[in-house]
Amino acid sequence: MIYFDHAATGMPKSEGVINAVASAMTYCGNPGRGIYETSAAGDRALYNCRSALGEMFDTEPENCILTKNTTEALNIAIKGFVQSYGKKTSVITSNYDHNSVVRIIHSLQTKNDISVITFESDICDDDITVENFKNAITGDVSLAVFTHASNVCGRVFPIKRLVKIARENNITVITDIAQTAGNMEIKVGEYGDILCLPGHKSLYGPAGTGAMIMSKEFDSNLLPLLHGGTGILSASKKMPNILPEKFEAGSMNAPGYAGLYQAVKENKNKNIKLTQQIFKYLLNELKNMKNITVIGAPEAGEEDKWMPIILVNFWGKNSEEAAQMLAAENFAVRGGLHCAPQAHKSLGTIKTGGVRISIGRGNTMIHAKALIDTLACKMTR
Amino acid sequence: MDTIIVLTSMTYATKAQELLKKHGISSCITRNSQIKQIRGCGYGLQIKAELLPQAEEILSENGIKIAGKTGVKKR
Repeated sequence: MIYFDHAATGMPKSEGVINAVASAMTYCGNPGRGIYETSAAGDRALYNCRSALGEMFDTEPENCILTKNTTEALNIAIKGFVQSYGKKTSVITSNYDHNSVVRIIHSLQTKNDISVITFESDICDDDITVENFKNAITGDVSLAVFTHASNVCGRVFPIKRLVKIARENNITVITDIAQTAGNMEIKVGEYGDILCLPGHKSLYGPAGTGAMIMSKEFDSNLLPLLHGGTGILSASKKMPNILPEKFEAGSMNAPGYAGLYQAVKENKNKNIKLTQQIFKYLLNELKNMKNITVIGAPEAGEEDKWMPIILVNFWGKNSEEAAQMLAAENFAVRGGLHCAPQAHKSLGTIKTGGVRISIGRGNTMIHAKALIDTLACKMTR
Repeated sequence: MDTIIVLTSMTYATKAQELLKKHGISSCITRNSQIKQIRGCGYGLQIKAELLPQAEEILSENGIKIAGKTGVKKR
């Protein structure tokens, strides 16, 4: 199988990550349950992971809340913010948000906790995106939720510029960095008050790991999503108002975070040159193939504004069907709507969906050429 | 004679331990009935009593809140 679905989850995981998880499954007990050796080892695994994430995103370890994925992080952040706000407020979102944002926002809107303003991000022109955001701001907006890069077409949006405007308007920013974490340098604060990320995509950590990262300056009075045991202040029925435990009720996935710690360490030495080379090669080839439409892709020279994701459609073929045909030829790609219907609507592919080809670790030019050859022989005739 | 600095959580206990270590103060993380009286389940850092003023200063400078202090009961 040649794997081109890195936007869904990064594969293969490194031997170092696999060993870290396996080893932690042997020596880690339940963190926060005592100072005996195995529980302490579990605590150490969590702390190491927080510490490494804090260093990576420029914040303190206690501001790194460990979650099972980006979706959980976004739910904690968005719901926690709205519930702690105390009155109905307006929230700004964008047209490229994933359902991990759309559905929690919709749920809060249905309960009449918020009103929602959606601004249009433009994949061709950052100035238009910035202007659209400015125009969407009304007096009662207290929160903006941004998607750093589209999981459908890979476009990286000008988040630093948007955050600057949000700051001028006293708007808290939550940024979904699911597609960029591990692929570019990101500092919380510059990219939002809260960043929500997966451990398992471009960081190549284990599945079932993610994080909500808060800036040092962010005054967290968010209400917790989960309630339960934390190993501290056990006599109280209230969740402790102490970070990070406030947001981490219940037993934690110590082996998973031991793996994520290893993944974050390894990410420091990541070389994305080959990935970029393959991305450019595939883009160029696909654009020149007959019976294929490349959607939402950069012009030559603009590739650095995109993550290595390419959305295509094959004439006369449904995207799910096309992805299935490629699976039969041993290529892993993803068809359909990619849990981001709004993005497909903006790209004009809401009815057809699209076939997403996402490039990452382990891919080679041989893989890329094999894909092009297969498409030429099997898919475009 | 040892003293226990009571911290609000395991995360802060570990962070404090690392900070003190950087300043040459060794400590061990502990959890006992005296800490429980202060925090109702919590963690403490056991250090030599004479190092307490220096440790307090280091933790304060780094924004780590001390929830309490207690002596170590002799067995």
